[in-house]
Amino acid sequence: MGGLTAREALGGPWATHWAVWVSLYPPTTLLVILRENITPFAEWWWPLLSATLQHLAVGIIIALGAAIARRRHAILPLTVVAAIWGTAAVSRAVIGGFVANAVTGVDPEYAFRIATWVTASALWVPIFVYTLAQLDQRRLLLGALDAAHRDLERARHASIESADEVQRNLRESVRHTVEPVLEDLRVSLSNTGTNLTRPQLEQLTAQLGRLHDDVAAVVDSAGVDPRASQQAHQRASLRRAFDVRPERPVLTALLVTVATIALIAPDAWRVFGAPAALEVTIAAVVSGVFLGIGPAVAVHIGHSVSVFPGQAVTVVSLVLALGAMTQIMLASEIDPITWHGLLIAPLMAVSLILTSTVFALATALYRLNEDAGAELAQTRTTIEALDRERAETRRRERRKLAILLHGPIQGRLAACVMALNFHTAALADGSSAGPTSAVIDAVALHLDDVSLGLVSLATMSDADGLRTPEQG
Amino acid sequence: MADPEPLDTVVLVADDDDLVRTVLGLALASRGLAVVESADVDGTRRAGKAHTLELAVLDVNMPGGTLRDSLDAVRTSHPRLPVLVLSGEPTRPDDLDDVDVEFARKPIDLDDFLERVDRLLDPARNEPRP
Repeated sequence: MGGLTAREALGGPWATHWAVWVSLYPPTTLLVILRENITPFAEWWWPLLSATLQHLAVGIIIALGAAIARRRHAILPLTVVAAIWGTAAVSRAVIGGFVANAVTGVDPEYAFRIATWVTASALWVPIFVYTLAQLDQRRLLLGALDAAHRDLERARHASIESADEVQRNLRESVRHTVEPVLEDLRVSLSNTGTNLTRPQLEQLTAQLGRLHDDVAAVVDSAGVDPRASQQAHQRASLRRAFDVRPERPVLTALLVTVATIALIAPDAWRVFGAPAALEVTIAAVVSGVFLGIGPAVAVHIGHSVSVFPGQAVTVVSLVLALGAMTQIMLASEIDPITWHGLLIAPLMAVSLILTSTVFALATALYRLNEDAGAELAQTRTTIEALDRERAETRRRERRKLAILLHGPIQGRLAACVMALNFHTAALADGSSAGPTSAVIDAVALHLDDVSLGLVSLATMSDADGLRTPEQG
Repeated sequence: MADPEPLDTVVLVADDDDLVRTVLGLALASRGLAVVESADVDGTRRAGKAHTLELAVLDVNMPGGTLRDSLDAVRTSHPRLPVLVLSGEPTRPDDLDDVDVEFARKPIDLDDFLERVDRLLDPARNEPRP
């Protein structure tokens, strides 16, 4: 588990995820509003309706394409992903042109619409999908790391327990499990004595049999370590996932500039003419400089920078970039008509905010995820080593305890069970007249010895335990 | 423990727990079998030498030696003697892997015990049990 490869990220679940589709609704809608500005719709809401219809069609194509393609591929080939999103872009263009033509009678300009939507999709969709996939992977990795660190803490805490403590705890477990049941049995046997009926004898045998099995079970279960949780890890919060140090701020700024120009400049040219396109281009370049320069300087001097909007450098850079963009779009006079800039500025703002965040994450997340994956693997290796060491200690101590229990506790209990069982069976086939006092007395004596054995087991020193011989 | 008197048909019961020896002895006696007892490896060796044994029921751990020692003690004088090994452990001990003996866990039911004894004493039915 580490960083996703480009193919895993671009062909995985996020390639056709609804979140990508939803996140692209605001910028595409603003672009449609800009694009249809010169279409003489009678009502103001027609561009909005056209944008929504286009987006719904895109959603249907992606959902259908994914449903069909994922029958054969868990990770979609990039050509399939490109075909799905290419089809969606063409459909968006065709629907936009059709609505404009059907409602107002203007030229649908299919070629222009198809070219611009395919270009915008090619520039925006892969980077969105890649970033969301890596971001989700980062959340999973951070969640897994948190769980691994908790497990490591548990393993370290458990490894502090010495062999002597393990042995003492095991003995106490046995004593606390066995003693109350044993006492009940002794009292019961003492009260009834040789007056035991066959059902009572059978019940006593069964109780003793369970007690014998319980002793073995306590020793066995005492050796089982509390294992690390195998449940699915919680994803880390989005805020933590976003807390990423931008690695290549200059490249990020360049990509933001190119993506913004490619998205807006063609329509600005088509709708408002060359000055508007030039104004968009200059505003995007200046904004890109502001977006890149702050983080670049901060990274250079070693200052802590995070993509998450909340870190001073990121916020200041973004505010400066948006301020410069607004100033150029509204007051530069490159396009002398102010309302052109007023219409384009919101789309540019959305584009700058989205791309600056997405591109900054995209350039850093793969390496960060690789690092987190390596740390996770290292942590798990350490946990496994500690668990193995502890399991070996417990196995060794369990074996010692089993030897200690074997004769004085389990062996005697087994003898009692056999004595009562044999005697009950003899009663059933008539070969014995009744429970003889000799058998009952012997069983009672054995139970007394077991009780004494339990007490000495709990109080013996560890050195005593080591010297105890094996018994049958 | 004193050496028992020689008998024609003898089953050796070797266990360091006197209650186990007693109940196994009573069960075997109910089948009309003569029983000699031993409580340790030395006693087992002496019983092997003193009697013509037809079956030995051995505890897996006894004072004075290992299970191998107990087996050697009886099979030196009775190389093909059927042996039933009883143990508190749930699984057959590793050192029985290459030895032809029957293994059973204690506590064992009377019916199960006697069925095993009958089979071991009857060569025609002498097929190993799981």
